[in-house]
Amino acid sequence: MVKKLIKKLKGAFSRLFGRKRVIRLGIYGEPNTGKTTLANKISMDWMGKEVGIVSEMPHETRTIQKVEHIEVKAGKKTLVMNLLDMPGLSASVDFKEFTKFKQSVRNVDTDFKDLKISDLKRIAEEEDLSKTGKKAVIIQRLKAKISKKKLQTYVKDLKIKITAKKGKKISKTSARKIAEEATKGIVEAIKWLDNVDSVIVMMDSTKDPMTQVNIMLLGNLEAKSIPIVIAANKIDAKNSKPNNIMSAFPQHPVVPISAKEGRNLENLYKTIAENV
Amino acid sequence: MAKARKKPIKKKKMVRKPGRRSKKSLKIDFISMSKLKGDTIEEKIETILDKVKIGHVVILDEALSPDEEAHLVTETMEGINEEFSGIEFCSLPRQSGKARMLLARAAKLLGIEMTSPGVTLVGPSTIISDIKRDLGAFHVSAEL
Repeated sequence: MVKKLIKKLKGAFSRLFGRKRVIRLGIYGEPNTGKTTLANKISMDWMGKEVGIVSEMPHETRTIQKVEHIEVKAGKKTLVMNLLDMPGLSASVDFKEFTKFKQSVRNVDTDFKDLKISDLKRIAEEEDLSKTGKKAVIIQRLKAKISKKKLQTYVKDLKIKITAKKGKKISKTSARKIAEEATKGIVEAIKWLDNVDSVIVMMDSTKDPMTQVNIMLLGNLEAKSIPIVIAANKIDAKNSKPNNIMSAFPQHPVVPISAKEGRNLENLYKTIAENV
Repeated sequence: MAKARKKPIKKKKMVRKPGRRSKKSLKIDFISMSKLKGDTIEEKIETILDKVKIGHVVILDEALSPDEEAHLVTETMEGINEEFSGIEFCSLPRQSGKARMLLARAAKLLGIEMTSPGVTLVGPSTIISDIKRDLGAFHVSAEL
């Protein structure tokens, strides 16, 4: 109650002095509900950059992805927000599940030999090493100077595309690592419930919304008096039933959207602006 | 001279005697919340998870609060390993967080211990394959 009052007073002062309040907007939900797809869409539309990798594999997002200071037009209002794409919430993580999926570029345990010679030369240049010689010679030089971890950083920073291992199934070792990161991500996301100002709860409108994870999430947000907007995602799918979500949670605003196609996002922004 | 070939030894087929077939059983612990009275959230969750980790399904005669549910998920995540891949759980009735929090605060001020009539089921995700719920009931599918 007191927190809410302080928040309202802060908002009133900000408006009085013409300063826009920056809200921390968290995107929460179960895995594979389209959180990163929505975050990418918002970030691409208003900032021109992506937030994270989208894949069919659950728990692809395992750390909180942040994009700061996005200004979004919501009707007559302008929403200024720090967008937080959260790891998917679930009560179980089975490492064996991940072995059924193919590697995405981020999950590839990159080795020097997986890179093209042109990319190896680019890294050698960054490290002030000689670019001359065959692939094996350049690899030898790079191996002597940089670790595999640093190689991964270069792959990410220089936006190097790896095709050699892409398409391979995730190994048991990688799957164990992914599971460990996923569990940490879930704990982190729950802890962050105390640090967000407003939340978009993503739900897959092709599935049953009455899951205990959704109920737990909404219950905790209600208890903390955090404004909630439910996004009934995947309305582009044939079997989408956003009405099921509306009747399951009538106490919250529900906006049917397609994050993939960018449908009805303006309505989503307006609803967030009305509820902050 | 060619060596005489040894006759391959035929392996005897193992025949299970009737009645000796190992049967998997489902173990359910019905726990009254009065037994956990006075315990902290952490202690309550530990009691539940200790049983779930050894393959038991736990049924409590109260609904967990949203805060307790969040603790349950957090503690589950911290205990996940190759043998334990997590839980499936369900609480009835649906708790309205805001209303419950206000009631809990009022009860605390008056020194009354609040109870939440209802039911909670927590089981290993390897056993509880599906939980379907509607407004007043939930339906559980289990696999052994």
